[in-house]
Amino acid sequence: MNQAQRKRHLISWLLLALLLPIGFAAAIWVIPQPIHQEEIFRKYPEALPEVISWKSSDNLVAALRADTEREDYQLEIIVTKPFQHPNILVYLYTNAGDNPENQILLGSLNSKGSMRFPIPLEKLHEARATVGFYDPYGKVLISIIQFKL
Amino acid sequence: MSLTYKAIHWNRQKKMYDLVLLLLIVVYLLSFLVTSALLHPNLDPVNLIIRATGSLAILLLHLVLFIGPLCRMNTQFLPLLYNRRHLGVTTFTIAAIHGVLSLLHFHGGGDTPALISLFTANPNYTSFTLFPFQVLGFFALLILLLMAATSHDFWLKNLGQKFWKNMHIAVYKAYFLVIMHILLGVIQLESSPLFLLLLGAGMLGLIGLHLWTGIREYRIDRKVNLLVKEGMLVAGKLSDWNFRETKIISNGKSRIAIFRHRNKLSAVSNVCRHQGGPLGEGKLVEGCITCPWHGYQYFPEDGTSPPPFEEKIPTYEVQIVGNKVLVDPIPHPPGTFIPPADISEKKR
Repeated sequence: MNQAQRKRHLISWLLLALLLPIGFAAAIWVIPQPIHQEEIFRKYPEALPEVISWKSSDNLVAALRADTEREDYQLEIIVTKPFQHPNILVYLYTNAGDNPENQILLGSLNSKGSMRFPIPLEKLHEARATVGFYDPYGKVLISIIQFKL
Repeated sequence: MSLTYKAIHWNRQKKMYDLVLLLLIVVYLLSFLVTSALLHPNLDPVNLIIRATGSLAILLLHLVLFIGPLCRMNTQFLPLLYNRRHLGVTTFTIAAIHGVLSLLHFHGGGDTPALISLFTANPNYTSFTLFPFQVLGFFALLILLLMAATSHDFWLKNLGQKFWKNMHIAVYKAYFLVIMHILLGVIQLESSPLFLLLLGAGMLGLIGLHLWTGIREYRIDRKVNLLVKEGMLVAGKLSDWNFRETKIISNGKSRIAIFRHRNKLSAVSNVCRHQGGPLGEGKLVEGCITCPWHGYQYFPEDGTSPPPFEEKIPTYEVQIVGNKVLVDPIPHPPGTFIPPADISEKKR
């Protein structure tokens, strides 16, 4: 390399030495809590035997399932057609205001197949069995489903 | 060196290099896939391959970028540099598999064409936290594509060494984009700190090594040898060449390599015509200065490559006054014969 090229290399790394640590620290600072992606690795529980109620839309079939004693509940989602949203979070809608991100996060719909999310019994009643689908990137509430209990 | 352009000019070292590289890639991918499949049996296989190739590509990119400063620190790393372009092209290939699979998997199932969806599915370009990180990876891949496509000596020859080298510095832009792609992508979704720690260690290691070697080279460039009468540079004492073949000095603009050969001293440009390798750190092989990077050769007296090769480098006049070796700081045109300074009589 000649002198000018060596200088260009050095300037490039001086800039990177400044920008990369800033980017690194900023990215760590904004990591969301809880981390949404964790759901994708979770082994979904077996389907509970009884379907209490179910609804369907253009993109999915949603079923509220329970065990025979009606003590454990779960939400089952089957994505039938891809969404035009990069990621969709599923919330249990309580009375904590309209902002979807203040609701109870059940999980995310970002892989194929059926997904099942356990629902605490008291929260299910508090939410009057209402579930919302929300795009966190576009900040769009896609739809709300209310099941019959 | 090669007279004709071949897809790859194979020799034993390149074959060994590529074989070891291929084996390491296979071992890494298999280990990643098997371990991940055992830990997360429900993980979508395409997602698994995307993660395996993505992590391998960033690992290889770090290796590519580590080789340069390591060679500046210790010449024992030079064999890694000899075939670095194969490593670079391999890095692009793995990154391209990661990119194409991601594009098809995450953007290929909707009504919008995948490439348009890549840029429009997440419109939060003004937000740091929600920035569409896949776009950063796309542009990094474009830069790596440009570099891989022009990595062959055909392009080096036709674009010119300076232009080619300056163009390939774009790898640093690609590195920045890749790091931000990871930080705003998988790091935001990953609960384990392991990947973050590894990435941070790699990044800090690279910055530290490049700055250390870069500042050291900058200081060498700034150190101009003392000017004496009639504008000659004092390159040193004759005894400086007692125990070594070469010495590198600077004229303030470029570096000059002074070689001892058959009890004579000759000075040539320190910059190889091929990729700008440091000739003064090379050796004399069968009477020819041999570049430590890729083995390009030049005669010390006139800076020409042995026939049938046609590369030429500038030469410098050397004088011996008393015990001092003086070098004219003004280069002669590439390929100019300059009589070497005889040191055998001076030493007696």
